[in-house]
Amino acid sequence: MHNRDEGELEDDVLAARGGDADSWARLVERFAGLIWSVARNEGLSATDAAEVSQTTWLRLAEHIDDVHDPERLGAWLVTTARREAQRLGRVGAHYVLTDPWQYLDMTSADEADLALLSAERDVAIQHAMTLLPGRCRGLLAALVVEEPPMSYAQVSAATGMPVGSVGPTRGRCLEQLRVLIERVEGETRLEPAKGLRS
Amino acid sequence: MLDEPIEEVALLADVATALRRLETVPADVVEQAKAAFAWREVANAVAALDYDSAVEDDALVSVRGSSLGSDRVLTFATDGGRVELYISDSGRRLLGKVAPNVFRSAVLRHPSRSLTLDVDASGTFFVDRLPRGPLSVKCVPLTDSISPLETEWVAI
Repeated sequence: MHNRDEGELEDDVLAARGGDADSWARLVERFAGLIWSVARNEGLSATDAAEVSQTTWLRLAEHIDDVHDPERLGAWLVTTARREAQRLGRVGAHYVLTDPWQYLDMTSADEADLALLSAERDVAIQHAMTLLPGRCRGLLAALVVEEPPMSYAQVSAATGMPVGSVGPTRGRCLEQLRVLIERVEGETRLEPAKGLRS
Repeated sequence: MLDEPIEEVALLADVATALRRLETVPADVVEQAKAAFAWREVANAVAALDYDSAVEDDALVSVRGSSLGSDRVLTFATDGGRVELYISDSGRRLLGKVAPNVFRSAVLRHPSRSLTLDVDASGTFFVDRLPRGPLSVKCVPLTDSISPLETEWVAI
């Protein structure tokens, strides 16, 4: 299951490189939310975040032949989007904090730091989720989507997974996610990632 | 569900927070991302951005920026040549310079349209109404024996 799902990302990258627009569209569906989050977390307005997103995808279109390790594609997109967002931010003319009060309301610099750290953590989690096998992605999303959380019986009904498997699978998926979060935090901390080669 | 390990509960709570904060990406942004695929070109070498005054240190920016009257200076380099872009007037004016001097025109490429500028005898090109949005410049050579030169996409 895990391997087949990883294969999907790899297949889409290979097919996109060969000119298949449907595969490219699937890459967009998988990563568009992540790129958007990165740009917004850098404090960009929706207009500037849209420009960063577009630039990032144009860059990928240029460099898709250099993607030798599809597993690292997310890290490359995050790094590219973050660098473009910071660049656009420093140009200044369009720079607007998403919510200036968010930082002003805080009583100390530590709290502002904490908010930024938690934004980074959100992006790392979202990034790791894009790398999870589809079954795990679906299960974890089902487990957290409702407040209060769905029962295992409801999750079972929503995902088609036998109710007895929900608990053990949840454990395995969270463990995979934890490992992936550590990995993507390591990959995206090392800037700048100039190329896609592993 | 009461015997769930505490680490799992904590991680799942973080996942819930991260997914809740995940904004819905505007539909036009997704469409633009899909359309970017049409810009995939296999043949030409791409000149990578190697200097951007927006990310260099302040001292260097003020020296380079002010001496040229530009808000932002970008340079791109590849084995086939070098492109310098000087952007001023809040991103509205663009003065470009390409070397070596073997190109007849510069195509300013935006995702939705292109603008072709003549390259003069000193390798410069100019436009005073630069559209907003991602930009890539493709320099068209004087003869077919020379390869076109195109820059990476940048957000302006």
